[in-house]
Amino acid sequence: MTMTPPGPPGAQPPASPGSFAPTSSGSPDDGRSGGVSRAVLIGLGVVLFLVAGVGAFVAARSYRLVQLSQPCGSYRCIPQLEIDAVTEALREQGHTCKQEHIHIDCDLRIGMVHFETTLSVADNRIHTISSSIFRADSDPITKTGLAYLGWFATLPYRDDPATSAEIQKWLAESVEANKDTKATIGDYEYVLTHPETYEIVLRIEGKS
Amino acid sequence: MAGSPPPPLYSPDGKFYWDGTAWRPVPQQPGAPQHHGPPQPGDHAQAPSPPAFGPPPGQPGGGPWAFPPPPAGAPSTRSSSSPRKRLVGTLVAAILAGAAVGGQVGLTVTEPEGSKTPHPVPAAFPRGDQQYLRGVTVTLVSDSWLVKANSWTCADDPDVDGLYSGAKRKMGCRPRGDAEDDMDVAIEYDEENKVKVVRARCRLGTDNPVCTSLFASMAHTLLSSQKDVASEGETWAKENAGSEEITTIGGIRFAFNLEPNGLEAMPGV
Repeated sequence: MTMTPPGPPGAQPPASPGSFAPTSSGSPDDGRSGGVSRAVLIGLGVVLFLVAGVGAFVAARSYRLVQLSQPCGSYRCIPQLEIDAVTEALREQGHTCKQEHIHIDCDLRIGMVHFETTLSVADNRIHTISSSIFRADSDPITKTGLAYLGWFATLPYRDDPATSAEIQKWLAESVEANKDTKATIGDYEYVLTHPETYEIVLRIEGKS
Repeated sequence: MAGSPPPPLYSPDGKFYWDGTAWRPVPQQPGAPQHHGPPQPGDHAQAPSPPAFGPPPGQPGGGPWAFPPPPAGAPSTRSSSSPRKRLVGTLVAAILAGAAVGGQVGLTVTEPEGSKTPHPVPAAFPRGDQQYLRGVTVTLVSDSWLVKANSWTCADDPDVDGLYSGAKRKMGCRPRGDAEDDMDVAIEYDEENKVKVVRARCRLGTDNPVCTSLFASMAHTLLSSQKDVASEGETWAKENAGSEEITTIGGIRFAFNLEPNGLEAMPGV
C-alpha cells in the first residue's frame, strides 16, 4: 500500500517569477538620482551620436563630391556621365552603336580607316573605354584620328578644361613618339599601344 | 522487481526524504557538497537517485527554478569599473557609432559631381558623311565619264558580299569591243550620292599610256566638284601611274597598286 506523503516540513511557497526582493541597503533617493543620471547619460550619448553622425556625413559627402571616379560593382566608373548621352553623341556623328551585354560597341568606317570604341559598363556607368583606329598601309594618325582618341580620353575630365588640355597634349606627343605609353592621370590609367602599326589602341580604365 | 526497494522521495529543497511513513531530514556528510535539490547521480553513497518528478502533492510550486536572492552585502558579479569610466566609454561609443553611421550614409547617398552629358565633339571628329566620296555620284562616274564620254557599258553587280567598304551596292563598267577585258572600273556605293569606293584596273602594263590616261581622267572626274584641286589630282595620277604611291587630295585618298595595275579612290581622313 502506498502512502501519499504530506508536504515536507518547512516548505515555503515559491517566489513568483519576476518578483524581486528589495535591496536591504540604500535609500529611496539613491534610486531617483541613479535614474536621473542614467537619463542624462542616454541623452548625452544620443546628442554625441547625432553630432558625430552629422559631422561624418558632411565630411564624407564633401569627400565624395570631388572624387574623380565612383565605385560601380568591382570597378571605378566615370561619375554622372550617362551612357545614352555618349552613344547619342556618337550616333549624331554617324557612328553605329550596338549593345552587347555589358559592352557597347560603336564604330565607323571611312575608306580604309576603321574607328571603333568599346564602352564597358557597370551599374549604368562607364568604367573602361577602349578606342582603336585601324588603318591600312600604316598610314599616319591624322588630326581626325587624334580628335577621335582625344575626345574619349577626355571624357573623365570633360568638366576640367585644364586637365583635358594636358591629356590632349600627352596623347599627341605619345602618338608622335611612336611607342607604347602608359600613364596614370587622376583615378584613371591610360594605355596607348602600337601607334606605329596598323592599329592604335587607347585604353582608359578607372583605378581605385 | 522483488528485493529492489523503491527509490526514496525527496523534498524540492533536497533536505528531506520520505521513508514511507514520514519525512526525514537527509543526513549531512562531513565535507559533502550541499545540494539545493534532490541528490545528483554519483551521490549513491548517501541515497539512491530519485526519478524526476514534480513537487510532493500539496506543495505549490517550488523546484530548481526558484533561486533565493543573493545575501545582502555579497560582492557584485558585474564590472567593477568606476562610473567615470562607464561614462567615458559610453560617450566614446556613441561618438564612434555616430561617425560610422553618418560617414557610411554620406558615402552611400552622395555621388561625385560631373556633367551627365559628354563634352562636344571637336570639328575634326570622324563623321558619318565622310565615309562617302565628296561630291561624287554614281551618275557622274558611270554615265558622264564612262558611258557618254568613253562609250563604256555599266551594269549592277549583285555580288556585294565581302566588300571591305561595306557598301550595299556595286556597279561594274567596261569598255566595249576588244578592250573589254583590258580595263574595268568598279563603283561601290550605298545610294546615288553616297559612293564609297571607285576602283580602276588596267591590264595593259604599268607604263601603258592608255592605263595612265584612264587613271588621270578618273582622278580629274572624282575631283571635278573641287575645281581648285582637280588639276592637281590629274597631274599626280599621271606622274605616279605604274607605282604604289598613295596620296590624299581634296579628302579623297588615291592609292596606286601594281597587282593588278590600278588606282583606288576612297575617302581619306
